[in-house]
Amino acid sequence: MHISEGVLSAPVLIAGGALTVAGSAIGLKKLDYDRLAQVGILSAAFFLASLIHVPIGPSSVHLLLNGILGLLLGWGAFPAVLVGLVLQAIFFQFGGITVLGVNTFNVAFPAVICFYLFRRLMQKEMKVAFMAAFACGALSVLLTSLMVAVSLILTEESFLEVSALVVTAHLPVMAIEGTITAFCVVFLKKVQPETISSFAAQK
Amino acid sequence: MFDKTNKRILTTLVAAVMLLTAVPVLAHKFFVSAWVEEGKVFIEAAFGDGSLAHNAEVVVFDPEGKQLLTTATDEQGTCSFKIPQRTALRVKVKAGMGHQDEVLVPLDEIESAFAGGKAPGLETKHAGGPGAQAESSSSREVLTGITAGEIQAIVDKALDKKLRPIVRKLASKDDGGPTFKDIAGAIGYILGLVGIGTYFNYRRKRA
Repeated sequence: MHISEGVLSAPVLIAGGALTVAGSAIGLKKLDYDRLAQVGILSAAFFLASLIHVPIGPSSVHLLLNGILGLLLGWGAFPAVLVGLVLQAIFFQFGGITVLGVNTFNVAFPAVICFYLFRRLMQKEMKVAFMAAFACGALSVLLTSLMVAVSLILTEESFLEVSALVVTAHLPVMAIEGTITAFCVVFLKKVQPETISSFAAQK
Repeated sequence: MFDKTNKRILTTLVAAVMLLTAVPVLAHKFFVSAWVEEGKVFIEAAFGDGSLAHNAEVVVFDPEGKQLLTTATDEQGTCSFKIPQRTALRVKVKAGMGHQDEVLVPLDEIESAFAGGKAPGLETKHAGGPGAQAESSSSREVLTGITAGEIQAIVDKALDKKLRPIVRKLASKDDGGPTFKDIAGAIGYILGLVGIGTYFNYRRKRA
């Protein structure tokens, strides 16, 4: 999910930048610094996920993992995604520096939305948590695709066409990420239940 | 008190990373190459992983940004169109979902396409006119059957043809996937950031 440089108009870039700065500030403020290592690990996982291409569907797309990022980090997803995208821009030339704000917001904001929607369900019994985690993983990707379509609205003519294209391209990713998120949550609930409960308690 | 400092430091670090890396970064792993052949411009669009951008929208502009024509790439990620006018051309290819690249077809390349086709025709007209004597030097070139410009065009064309696979190979190597070194380096950065953050966190706790 990397919009190239020179595609978006200045107002979109500036808005994205401002929102990302605000989101990252909130994220850094809310972050439990005793769990910084977890943020780092998830940031690294996000960074690597973009290298896993999903060759199914009409276009070349890759994993995002923003569902699990949001679930475990809450607002902390913003700084984690920002660091991951900065490094991808430098090392792989994915996206670019000027679009960093928009790209970060498009990935991190759905993560935060999913955090608020699904965090309570994570405390429930295993089956409910499993289903909720699947929905979380899929929904976060769907929201990101929609936000990409919204970002492109000013440069590409028809919103419906673009969003249909982006969303269909990401259908396989949604299925894969839902599954990954579901199994991650089940695993963490079994092995390290405090990971989920403490983060869900975040305001 | 230290809590605030800690956050400030982290914010500064993130900002520093952003500033340090504010170098011009090339567009996405999506690139377009263009060349001129027999009065036509040929375009080839591909993604960094080698897959071709088929059915991508191609828009051609003149240097002032006026839109001249639009077309689309075929299944092979290529397309061609007749040169619409004798100026440099900017070709923008949009592969959807925010992937786009732009190439400039310079004026001399366009001119060279015309030099092979139309220019000789113009020259014969001149030679038949009343000022034929004044053009003795150019008519000598015509006598040899081939002008310097034509030789140039032929050589250019042959070179283009021979070099194209090499150029393409170089381009794809240049834009190839990330190496292990890149990945390891970037993860090192993340671990380093975590380390710095943890260090300040413990310092604050001890204080």
